Amino acid sequence: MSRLWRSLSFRLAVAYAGLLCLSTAVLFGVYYWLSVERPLDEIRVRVSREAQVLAQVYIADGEAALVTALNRRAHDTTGRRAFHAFLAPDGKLVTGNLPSWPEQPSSGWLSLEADVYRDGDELDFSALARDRVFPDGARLIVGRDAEDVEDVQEIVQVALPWVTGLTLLFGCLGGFFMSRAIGRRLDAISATARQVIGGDLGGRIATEGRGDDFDRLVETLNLMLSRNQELFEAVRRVSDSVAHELRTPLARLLAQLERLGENDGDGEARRSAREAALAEAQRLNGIFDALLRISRIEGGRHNAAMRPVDLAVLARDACELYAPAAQARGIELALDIASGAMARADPDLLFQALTNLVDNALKYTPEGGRITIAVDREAGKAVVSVSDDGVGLQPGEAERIAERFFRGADTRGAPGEGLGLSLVSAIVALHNGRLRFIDNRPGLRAGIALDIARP
Amino acid sequence: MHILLVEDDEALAAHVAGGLRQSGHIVDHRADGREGLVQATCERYDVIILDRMLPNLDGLRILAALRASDDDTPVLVLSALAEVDERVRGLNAGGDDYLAKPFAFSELLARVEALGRRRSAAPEQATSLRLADLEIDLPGHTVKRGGKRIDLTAREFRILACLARNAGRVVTRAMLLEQVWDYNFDPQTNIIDQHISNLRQKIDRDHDVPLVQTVRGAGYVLRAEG
Repeated sequence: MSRLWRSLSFRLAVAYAGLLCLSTAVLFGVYYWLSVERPLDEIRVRVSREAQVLAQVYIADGEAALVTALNRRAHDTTGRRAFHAFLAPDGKLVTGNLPSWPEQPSSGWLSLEADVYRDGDELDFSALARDRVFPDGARLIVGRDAEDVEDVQEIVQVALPWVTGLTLLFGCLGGFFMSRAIGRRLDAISATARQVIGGDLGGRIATEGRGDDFDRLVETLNLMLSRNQELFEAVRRVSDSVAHELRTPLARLLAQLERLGENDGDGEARRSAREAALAEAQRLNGIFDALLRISRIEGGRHNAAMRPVDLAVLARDACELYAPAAQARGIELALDIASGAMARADPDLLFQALTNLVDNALKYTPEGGRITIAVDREAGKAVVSVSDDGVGLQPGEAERIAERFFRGADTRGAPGEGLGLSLVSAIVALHNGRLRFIDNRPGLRAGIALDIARP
Repeated sequence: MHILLVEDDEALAAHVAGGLRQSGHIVDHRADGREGLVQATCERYDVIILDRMLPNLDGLRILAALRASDDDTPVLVLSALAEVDERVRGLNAGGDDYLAKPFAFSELLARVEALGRRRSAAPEQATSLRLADLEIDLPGHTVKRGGKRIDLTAREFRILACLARNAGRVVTRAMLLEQVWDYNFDPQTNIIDQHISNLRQKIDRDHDVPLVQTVRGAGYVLRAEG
């Protein structure tokens, strides 16, 4: 029972039925009060007052005056029809238009049959009457018609059990269907969740296509599941490549060390084998460093020292740093500062990101090419970008370019491990910025957009 | 130089101590943090090489204890924590230099010798540095060789000044990066080499004795003889 009670759809059903019954009861009560209780009250007040006045007429002016007053009242046709009976102390009827009355006088309210025959037709009346006995033994009964109100009262009394039963029935049925509709959609969500937990990351919740609250929830959940799947696949690709990328230099290192052990005679061969082994170990160390650094920055464990940084200064320094290398390779390295732009950033990290982009551009730009480091404002953001006219990207590579160990199809010959842009991407994410790669036709334009810092 | 090495990894300690001795230094070695601190306070050293993660007492706490007792022996902090912010922490704690593991021995040697020299040399107020026929005027930012003025960019001047302060001693690429550029970063390629080659062009062209020399596998050195 307690489990059933904990179920939200069951509680919703009970609440629905309860509310329906309650509102029906209230409506019914109000109707009863308006069409039965209130008119009856009005009649009682009027009859009480009339009985009082008529009694005073009898006490003050005597029998004749009362009879006159009663007759005048009986013939007044406005309002509800008036009834009366006046009995002398000996029990004989003096005047009256009531067909019958109880033998014994009573002090409460009387409801008397008062049918009237006129022109052969029977007119139904029911008199709500007051009974009074005077000290001399005379008895006066005064009343007015309440037939219509009593009819309504009777109908209400007959209808009450039916209405109660039907309300309960509809309440329970409605609650049941409502809770089943909600439960069905919740079940669909939890079934899909179980499917995903079970390892099928491709599972998605079906929408009803009505655009209602549940559909919106389901769309959000599906979006979350898609994002999770993408991230998971990226992680899987990365861990596969980590294994591969670390094993390859390790294997080479092993081979070189073995060769070093075999060649104990030839000095020159030993030296070159030793240097190759050292270089390999350093390469391996570089990969480790880069991976750790990226995951530290991505995991938010790097204590970034954010402060307003002038991107123009950063761009100028990067340009100066790479100018000799570019010159040596016959590449023109240009600086294009359209407007100064301050951004909130960690200068060391941002400079690292910028130099990685320039490094990349240098790698993939042929001799005689041109690289431009530009600073500008675009759409309310401070943007620093590096454009080249090198090999550029293949379609579809832009999305994966920042993935660890990813290397473009045209870049197999170039040195590098495919970690430089992952680091850039992690740094830009740490700055809540945006990293975009745009086809420069020919070549590539890599831009970092950051929020402008207000001085 | 008299050097104290506090390092708990036996193989690494033997390698470092052996290398330093071969280069003509006297080395004391302690493998435990507390013993290291005791040794450092008992004797006067030219340089202390301190690992960060040690049994019994953390390297940075030893450093803090030394600095608290007004001991200003130059300390080189060694650590497997390679990140820039860890480096800053090590330097803020009072370290004079920071080297991440793994490192090449040549890098360690260059840094240790630079630290030792910093101590023995009088506080650097020198306004001009001289080497053979090369004259460097630090405040005036001018360089002359054989009496003839050489035009250098601001960066080239800073590189030359850094080499000149360590004249006769190897300065590694990483040391140059740290001291000449205002950013803590890690270039993916040997970008420094091109700057050095430009500098060498300007300093050594038209002269028989090259002053800016490359030390294979280690770095650069400014010296008059080959």
